[in-house]
Amino acid sequence: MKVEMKGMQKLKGIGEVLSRRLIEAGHDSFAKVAAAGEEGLRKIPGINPRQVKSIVAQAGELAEEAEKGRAKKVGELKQKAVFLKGEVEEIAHSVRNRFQEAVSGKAGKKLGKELVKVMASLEKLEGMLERRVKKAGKGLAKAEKRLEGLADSGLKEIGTGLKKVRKSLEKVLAK
Amino acid sequence: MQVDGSTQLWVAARVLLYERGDDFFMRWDKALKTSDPEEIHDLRVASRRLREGLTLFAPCYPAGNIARLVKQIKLVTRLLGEIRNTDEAILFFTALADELDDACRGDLDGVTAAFRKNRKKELKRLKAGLRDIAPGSLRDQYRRVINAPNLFVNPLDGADLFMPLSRFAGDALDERLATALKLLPVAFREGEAEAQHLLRIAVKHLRYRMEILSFLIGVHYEELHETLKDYQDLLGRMHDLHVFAGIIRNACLPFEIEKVLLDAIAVKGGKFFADFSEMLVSTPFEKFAENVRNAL
Repeated sequence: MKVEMKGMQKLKGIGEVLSRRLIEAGHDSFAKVAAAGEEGLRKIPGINPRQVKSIVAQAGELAEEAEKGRAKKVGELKQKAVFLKGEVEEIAHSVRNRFQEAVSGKAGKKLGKELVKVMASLEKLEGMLERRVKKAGKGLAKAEKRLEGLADSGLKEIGTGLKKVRKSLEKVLAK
Repeated sequence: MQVDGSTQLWVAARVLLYERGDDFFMRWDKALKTSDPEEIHDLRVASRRLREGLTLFAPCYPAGNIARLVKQIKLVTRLLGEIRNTDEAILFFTALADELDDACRGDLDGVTAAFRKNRKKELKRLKAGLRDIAPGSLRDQYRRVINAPNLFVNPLDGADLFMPLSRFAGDALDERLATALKLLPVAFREGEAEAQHLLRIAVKHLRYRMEILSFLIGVHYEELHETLKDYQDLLGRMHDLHVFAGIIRNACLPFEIEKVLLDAIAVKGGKFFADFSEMLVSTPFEKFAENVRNAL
């Protein structure tokens, strides 16, 4: 609640007390304040009727900004997910070229499964980016770090590395 | 997940087969719930498209796994086939009865009534059959198989799973086009019902393959797909007439009625063949094949 209250105080005319009252009335985001309109805000005890119009306008602008920022972030994350899928493809290709003999049997099957799992996790994450922007951002950054240089590593390191990548992605996917 | 021509084959195969599988199982649930003829038809088409998808991407997976899946899905197609054929027969003979004089109507109504009576039994059998196959376990098996590509198999022993999808798709469509083109000269002759039937099947496989890879074909896809669909529809109608003629022959109708009905079917068959011949001139299949190759 404190975080939301602080956010609301970005609106001129809204202090600590009014921000709490707004949130308690269910207007816990700029978009909701804008949607409530002047009539809705006049019902909040203690609000200055002369400032209501300006508060609604400010909330509208801030909501629009936040939406734009979010959309931009989602776009960036989508690009990152595509990039990471390319990295996974590159790792698989590199394994095939460098360890042809070693991966022709069971070890190859195991590694293949891991590669598919990582790819599947990235695909799932791509589908839920818009709902979990912050968590996905963290997960993708971690996965990117763990994938770095993996294409040139040894077979064992690649297997372990991919497992770690998958786990960091699965953390985002977990409810 | 976005797939394009540059996506590696092992990644694209999995994503595209997931799409096909989702469509098939979703339609399965729907058909079981409603038993609506259109839903049943859609499920049957989805099962065929899924089989074509599995055949298309078979080189990416252990052969036995794909063969087992295809076999199971074929069971579903067959189960659905009987009731679909009955629906088609009811529609055709009802329309034919309206076209012919009253002397034939009574006998044709008898044929249609027998199909209607059978439909109820078939629907019951279909529902039980679909439940017996257990969509849940088939779905699990399907996912297990498509999540385990033969990733590191030696390219000399199978497909190179790291090639871009566009290259694989070009060869895959070429293969189906070649089959159809080979059948064309014989199918062009009026009495060659068997060749026309084989061409119909080849065109159908090609159509499903094109649909799976549609996003690679680009702006001309709709137009090319429409042409192929027209060919398939016409060849399908020609084939249906042979089936309906067989039904009449086996219906033990009075000789003179049977003759009238078979003549009426033959007239329709002649008209369809004339349309088919005209289509081969107005939109030559060879030209169509060339356009598909150029569009990729």
